[in-house]
Amino acid sequence: MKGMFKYMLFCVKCFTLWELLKGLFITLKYLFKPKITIQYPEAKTPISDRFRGLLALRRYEDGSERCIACKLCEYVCPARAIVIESKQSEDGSRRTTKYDIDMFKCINCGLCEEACPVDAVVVTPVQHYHMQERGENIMTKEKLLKVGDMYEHDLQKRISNNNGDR
Amino acid sequence: MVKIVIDGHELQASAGDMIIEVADAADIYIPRFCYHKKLSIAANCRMCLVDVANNGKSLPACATPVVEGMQISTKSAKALYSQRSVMEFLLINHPLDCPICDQGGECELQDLSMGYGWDSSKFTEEKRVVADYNIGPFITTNMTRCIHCTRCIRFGKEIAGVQDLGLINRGDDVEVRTYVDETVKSNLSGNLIDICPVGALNSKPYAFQARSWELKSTASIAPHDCLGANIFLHTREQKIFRVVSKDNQQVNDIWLSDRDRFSYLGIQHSERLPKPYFKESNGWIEKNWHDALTLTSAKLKINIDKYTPKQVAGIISPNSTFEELYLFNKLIRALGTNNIDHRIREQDFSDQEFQPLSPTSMMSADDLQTSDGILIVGSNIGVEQPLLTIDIKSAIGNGAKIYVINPIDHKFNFDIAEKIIVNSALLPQLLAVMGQYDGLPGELANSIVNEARSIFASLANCKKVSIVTGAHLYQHKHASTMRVLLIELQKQLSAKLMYLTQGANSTGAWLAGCIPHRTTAGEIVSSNGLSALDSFKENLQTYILFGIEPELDCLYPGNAMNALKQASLVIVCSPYITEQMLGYADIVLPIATFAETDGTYINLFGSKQKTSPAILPIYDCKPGWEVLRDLGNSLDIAGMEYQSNQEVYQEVTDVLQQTKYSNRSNLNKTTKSLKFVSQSADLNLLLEWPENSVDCITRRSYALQQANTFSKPLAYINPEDADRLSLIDGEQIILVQQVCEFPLTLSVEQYVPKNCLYIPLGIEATSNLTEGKIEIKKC
Repeated sequence: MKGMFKYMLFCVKCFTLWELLKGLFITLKYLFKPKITIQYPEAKTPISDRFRGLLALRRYEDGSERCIACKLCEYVCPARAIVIESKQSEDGSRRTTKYDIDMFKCINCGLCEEACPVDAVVVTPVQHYHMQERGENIMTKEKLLKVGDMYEHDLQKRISNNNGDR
Repeated sequence: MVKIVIDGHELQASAGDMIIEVADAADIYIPRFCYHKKLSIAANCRMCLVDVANNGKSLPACATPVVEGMQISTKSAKALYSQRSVMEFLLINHPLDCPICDQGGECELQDLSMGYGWDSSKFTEEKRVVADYNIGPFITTNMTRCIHCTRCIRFGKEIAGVQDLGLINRGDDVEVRTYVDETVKSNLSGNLIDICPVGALNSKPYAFQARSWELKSTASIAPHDCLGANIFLHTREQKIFRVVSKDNQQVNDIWLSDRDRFSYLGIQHSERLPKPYFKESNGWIEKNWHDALTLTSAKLKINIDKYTPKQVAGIISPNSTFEELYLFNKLIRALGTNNIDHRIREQDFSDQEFQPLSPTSMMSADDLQTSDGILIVGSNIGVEQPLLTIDIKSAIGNGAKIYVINPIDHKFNFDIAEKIIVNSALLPQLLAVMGQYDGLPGELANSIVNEARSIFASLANCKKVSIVTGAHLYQHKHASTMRVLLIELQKQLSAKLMYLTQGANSTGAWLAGCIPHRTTAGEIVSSNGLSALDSFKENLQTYILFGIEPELDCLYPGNAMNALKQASLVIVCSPYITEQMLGYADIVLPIATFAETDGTYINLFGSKQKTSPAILPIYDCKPGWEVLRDLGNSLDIAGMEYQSNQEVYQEVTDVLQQTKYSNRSNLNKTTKSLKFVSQSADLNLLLEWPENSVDCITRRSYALQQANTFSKPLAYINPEDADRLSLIDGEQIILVQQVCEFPLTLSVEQYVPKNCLYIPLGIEATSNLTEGKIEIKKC
């Protein structure tokens, strides 16, 4: 008797396309839900405060470089992407004469930022960048400082947001 | 002997030893700052506190002598607590600027605060700041970082012999500084950089250039004096960043002279020659090595055919490596001439036949330290061999007396028992008086004769006597007479004799055969060639110079310049090119300096010391031995097909081992044949190389040149002579010789003996000086 009932239910489901309707019902549900697809590149997905993108060098408010050429970032870099040369500047302070980051080698691990005692080298939220020619992968000090200048406002906000975690 | 226990290890120690010495010998580490094994004990940092059983307080390990049955713990809770507390005090005023401090990464305070400090400080007040000051071209000061261990002060007093630094004020205001605003004047001052445990005293030329962990270290030898101090060259990416000392008890101990430490600044100088350089009808042109060697050998062959091989002379720098000297000897002899020499600073060669195989001193630095009487004859030892003064100071510490006979009253950084200063013309007579030799012209004052006899009597009473001779002797017009007299004196006093020879490798040059009367291993040649000075006086047609700048390196540079200017072919192998060189040279081949090549240097004690290249030869330079080999090959000289420097070394040592002249050990000229020349009425010329201008590399080190005080174009005379010639101090004068005259500034000094004109060589102003009479003319 029980077997008979099971068989009849199966036949009804088969002929009414029940499973299909069940599936379409889910589609129907999503039809009325809010959309999450964004129109890249016109629109972008939000990123975390801790996102590790392009690197940059920061300045103090008076415009002087923060970097003191201690070379801790160079030492800690697991990909050996950073090359620094330094000397005594005219005012007697310790300054870099060369600060290159090879973006092909860089793995965006952020250890340089952690090692930096003066918050000079930082990772920015910038994730969209490209190079057209060989050699452009080397971010020189001038380029890195320029990136820092462009994003200084964002970086300050980000660093103050993250301070509790560090 | 007493038995003690440190950290459970039972140890034997001799009574009176300090705990830290016993622990160091047993490889048990106790933290320390003020304790240094080469300096006296101050016990003022308190970092080495250890827990000694049955003692209420922890005791400083550096100042506590061991006694029988002592139970010491260096790692008990009490010891660690004491060490941590001391560290907290030391860090109160120490700034947290390790990222910009050059000591960072090799700092004793940094290391010990990691190992023996708390993780936080209870100090919340303001840290103190101490002013920095300029103490010279070698050392930067950052006195805020100072922890007042007083190592630098004790170094000045005990090792350098010049106490420049001291502690002033008390308590929180205490400061290490020079007493008056002066620079540190010792020529051993670079060692302060090494012994300062923190970043208070650091190297100035190295300031902010690199970090210690990224430098590669290569063991080498500093070839600027005949001691050959052991060094480490610190490099990164084909650039030399600094030089630090390498511990070698037999040679330099742990110290270095400033000359050895800062000469590296001259290696990558802008005057380095990048490629072989040729003089042609339309001016100077660069050539590649292949063309350069073919052309050089062709020109050389033409010149030899045109004139005779006798018209060729080869002069090599005594700072060359043993291998270079050997190959140079082989090359010059193969050209068919015996005119080869390295003795560019000597003028009396009349005893060369009687000289031993090499001028190696038959003694060691240890012998000098254990002597109880030391006689210094004709040497400014503090300038010639700054590191040997440390040995002399330690001999004085053991009760030795130092006697000095000099042609000028040089300042020494050690105490002298007695000294005699006479005009250099009278030096041979003075030595003869000491050795009781008669038949003298008798020009010496009675007082001086008596003094000389009394010095001899005092030395005769000493158990172990050392005689040290230097530049004023070998540069002397009658050096051979003096050498014979010294041998006599040595026999009479049963003393040991030390020759401070010219250059870094004079011994090597004698052994390799870079002398006109003998070839490799003392083998006598058929006919004697000309010595360096004679070959310049003879005005030959062809000169081959290796590693020297004759205008600055030779004893009478004017003679050399005249000869080179008239010669038809001058081949120069030199690391540098100068304006003057373009005037006399026809071909300049660039060679590598000591940091870029491997080689062997034999020092005054006869020990063979090897170097290895720290960087590749810069530009298109080649190591000297390669240039000589290739030149030999392009001249078709047999047996020059070496693959490596090691092969050359092997060959020359094989020759040396088979020599039958190895027992040629002493001068055997008799004193009977000596002639004493009387003092003339003319001004007696006394020449000296400033300590930081001894060779082409040191002359180009900017830091060394800033520290060079003697290299100013000054002529020094005695006040009495100045009165006689009615000259005043600071006046512009002109020194007139037969063919040339050169302007100098006059300096009237008491320390110059009468009838003497003392001028520096190795500088531009005196590069025309020739042998012969000299007169002072007013400007």
